[in-house]
Amino acid sequence: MNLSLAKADRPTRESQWLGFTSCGRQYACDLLWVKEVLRCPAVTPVKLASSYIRGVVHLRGQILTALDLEERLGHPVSEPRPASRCIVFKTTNDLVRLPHPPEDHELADSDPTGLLVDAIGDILPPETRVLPAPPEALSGLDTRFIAGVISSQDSLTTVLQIGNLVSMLELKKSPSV
Amino acid sequence: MSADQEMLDLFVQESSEHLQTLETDLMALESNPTDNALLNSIFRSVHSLKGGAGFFGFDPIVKLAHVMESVMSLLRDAILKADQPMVSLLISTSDKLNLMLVNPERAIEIACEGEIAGLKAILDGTSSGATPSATKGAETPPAKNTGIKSDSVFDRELARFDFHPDDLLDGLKHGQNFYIVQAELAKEIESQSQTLENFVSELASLGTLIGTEVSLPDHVTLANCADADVACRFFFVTALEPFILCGALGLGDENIHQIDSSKLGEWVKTAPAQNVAPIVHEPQDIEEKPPEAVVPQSIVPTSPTVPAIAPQPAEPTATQIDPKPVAATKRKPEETIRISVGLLDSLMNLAGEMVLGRNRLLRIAGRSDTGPDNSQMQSVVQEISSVTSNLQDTIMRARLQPVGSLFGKFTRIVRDLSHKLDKQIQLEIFGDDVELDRTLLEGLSDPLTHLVRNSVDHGIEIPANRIAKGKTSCGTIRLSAAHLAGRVQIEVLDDGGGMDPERLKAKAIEKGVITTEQASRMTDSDALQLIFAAGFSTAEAVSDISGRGVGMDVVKTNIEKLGGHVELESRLGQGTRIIIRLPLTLAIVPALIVGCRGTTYALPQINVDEIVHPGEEYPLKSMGGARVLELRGQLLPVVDLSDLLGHPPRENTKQENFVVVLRLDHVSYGLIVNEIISNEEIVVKPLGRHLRSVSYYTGATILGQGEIAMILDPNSMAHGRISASQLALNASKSSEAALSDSTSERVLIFQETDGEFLAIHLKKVMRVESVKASDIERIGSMDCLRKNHDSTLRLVQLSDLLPIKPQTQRGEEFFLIVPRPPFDGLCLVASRIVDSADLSDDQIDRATFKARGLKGSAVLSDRLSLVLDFDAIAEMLNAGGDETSVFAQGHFMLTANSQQQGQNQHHMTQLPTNKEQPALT
Repeated sequence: MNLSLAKADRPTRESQWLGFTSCGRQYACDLLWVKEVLRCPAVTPVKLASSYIRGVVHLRGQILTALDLEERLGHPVSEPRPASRCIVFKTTNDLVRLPHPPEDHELADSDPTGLLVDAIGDILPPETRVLPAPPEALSGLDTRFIAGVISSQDSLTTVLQIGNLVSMLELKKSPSV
Repeated sequence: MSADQEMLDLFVQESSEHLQTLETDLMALESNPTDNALLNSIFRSVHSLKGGAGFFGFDPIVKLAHVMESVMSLLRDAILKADQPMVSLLISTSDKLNLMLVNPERAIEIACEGEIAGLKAILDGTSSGATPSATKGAETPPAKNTGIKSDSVFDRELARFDFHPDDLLDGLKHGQNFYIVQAELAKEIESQSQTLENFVSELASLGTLIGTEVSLPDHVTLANCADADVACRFFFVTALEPFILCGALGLGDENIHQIDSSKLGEWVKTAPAQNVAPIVHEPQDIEEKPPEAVVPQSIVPTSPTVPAIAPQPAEPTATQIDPKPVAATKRKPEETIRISVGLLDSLMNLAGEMVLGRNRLLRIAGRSDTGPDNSQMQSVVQEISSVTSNLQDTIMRARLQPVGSLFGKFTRIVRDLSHKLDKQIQLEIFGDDVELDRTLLEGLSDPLTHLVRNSVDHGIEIPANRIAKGKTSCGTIRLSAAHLAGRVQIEVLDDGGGMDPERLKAKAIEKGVITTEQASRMTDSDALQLIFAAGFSTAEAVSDISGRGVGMDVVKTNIEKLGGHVELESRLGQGTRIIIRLPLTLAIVPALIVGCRGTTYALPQINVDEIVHPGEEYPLKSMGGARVLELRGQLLPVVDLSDLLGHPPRENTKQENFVVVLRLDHVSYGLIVNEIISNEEIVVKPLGRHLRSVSYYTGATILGQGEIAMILDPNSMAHGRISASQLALNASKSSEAALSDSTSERVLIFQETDGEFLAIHLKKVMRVESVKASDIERIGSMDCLRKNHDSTLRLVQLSDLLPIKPQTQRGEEFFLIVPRPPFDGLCLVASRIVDSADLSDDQIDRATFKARGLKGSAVLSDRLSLVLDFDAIAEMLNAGGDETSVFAQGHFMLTANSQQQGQNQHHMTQLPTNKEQPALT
């Protein structure tokens, strides 16, 4: 089990994975990054923001930037979808307090960022095998945000690279245009 | 590695603090050169700095600090008296130390030869003065005893050692024991199979070695010297008791002589001159060579053992050990720790979350269905509630810092500038304990520096001119801070020449800021405001200090960016007063909440000039592709917020729109919105990094019901949206329009009751609000309207102040006229807003109705109206309050030029920080 190549490359980790679904696809992310999950948050749209930003959410006195996972990964969504769940990621201040923060913790933002998804799935154990992602050329996926793939009997789960997901900015859209 | 870095950071931080104290103290020393407490404090600062630097091995810093310390010790022992050039030299030394600290590892690159040479010259200067007495003492041994009641053995013992009295101070201060350890090399040291070297290092590890002495017994001659034993004496200070020392060194009781430290203290104090001699001969005793001179000269070449011995009790061991314990014990006894701002912010956020949780809890506890334990629960919830509020308040306070930290640096600036300009200026500081948000304090630094510099450079006259005008030769600049009406008021006041409105006008005409015709119509107070115009400077000659023409306009914009407000008063020949009013914190700003296609946005109130309903009176026109608003004969560029934000264009534009006129530094423009929702004090929340790149938003805020509104940035909305031609049109019009206002001004006509018509100048009015009588709360005799976030508006009944028909009963709904800052804490009550009209100064009939608070009467829109003098009304209201309580208790700082030094009365209070005065005074 532990002999997998992907595992061998990484230092042994104890973190679990949080599974979730969006548009019928399965995803997972490092549970260490997750602060909480909001149910049906009220998203206020923000004009002129990049397309992958669905809007802002009032999170106990702070402004949370809600990202649209599908747009972020480059799967354009035509019809508006309800924001059913929002995974809130930890901020710089939250991560500093962790004894073993995730490797990409330096990419965290100082203000809360969240990811809108359809449903929250299972927690996957730390020893789950994570395969490296297929190269971008083959899959057509934006691999910047993909850390790897978990393969189970009937499906593939995309493991997301949260650090990049919360940090990389789309600079193509300038507000004055 | 990071621990080292941390230590280093701590060292740099601490040293900076030491240097800051040092600078303040030096400044004070100048006017008070014999103050012992000051001298001690300076000495301590330098010493701690040297200690810390020595610990990290920053030799250049140690070297410079050491020389400075030596001079300070002479000053402290009253061997030298500080004069002005000396203080200047010391200040410049402290500057160099400051520079070195910026990058301690590269301190060597900072050239400080000038300072070192200067300080050494001072030391050498004393040497010539002090040597005679020292040599005299050496030649006639009994002279040493003059005035000292001590046994000769004591003196003789000490006389053997070559040391500086300062070396004793630390030990004396900490009540340590002094010993002379006597040992014979062969018999007592080498017999324990120890080398002298080991023995010395062992001694050094037990305490501080002050001096060493090696001698051969008297009977030794050249013939038998090789076999003779060498007697070593060590003058040594340690906290250890004698018997422990014996055990530790493996020596007998008879080898160790304890010296009475009280005698030693007396001796150090009363006989400093002769003991200065050592340091005088070798001013750089940091690199002091082992005291070879002590070894009798005749022995050196002959005895094989002695040369090996002499260098070994090497002084460096002692000097390196010395600083460490000193640095550790010299901390100020303040109980503070350093906290990162990030941590405070997250504490603040957590407290905010707690408040929201508490609110939910309060709601649940208030419900009747919570069961029989309701009352118990209520009391617990109340308790939690008050603790939560306290917690939030305390954390909020933790972010505040006293303005003293900012004011402090001006003592130096004023001192330096006044020297440079040959002026005599005294800086008084009041209210330096008033606290302000950290960010505000940072933002205030530059504008305030500018204002103080201006006062020194342009305000205060040179002494001759002052005397000619019948003033004292020493000018005064007063910096004060005070809490006033929920704001912080900072004032820069000078008793200098003041500003001449006529000269300002002339200058403004010359620079093309205004026309001659405009100038002739200008009032004096309007003329004073000219200095806030861009590119305006009145200095006769541009000096390197100020007067480049970028200045007051920048000050004004910077203060306004902080949500503040600048005012200026000046009387020719008497001085200038500049008042800055700031909010307590940056986080809360007044804003106008507007709606655009169903979404709410917030506009900072500070940029909102007025709100116009376009229609027949103010038509919205198209000029080429651009839209303009014709506003009182002025064409204003207009942008549509929905276009700006990319809303798709709508077919029917029937919906009523409003134009919010936004005023920026130099231009104004109109912003079309669909709805005006409210005026609120909003809490600015930062946006995440993904949204920070959208320049139109400066942040977001959470409104009453928990919904989010983005805060728009009027500045960046103007960029790129308003074409150059529109701006040009705007710029050419606006200054003219603004000035034409000074002859004919817009007034707002209203009624307090159904009686008189009252008119108030629109430029005094910020906004008009409509309120319900039920929103008004009564506190004592004062009616208040509570706004969000704990701010209140005080309602003013004009009938209480003016001879008009009193109000009997308020209607269900009435209006409040809110004036512009700084009077935005109050508002005038109006039952009806009638109209607005243009009123020129000569239209006012000043004869018929005369009363304080009234300018007179005028016929406006066919009705006789009373024209209010709002400034007078504000004064009448303020007169009720106690003006004298404005200034928090503070202290004076004195900056004096050399000529008048000593003549001046000294207003100097030392902050009570030096609790641990050295035992030796």
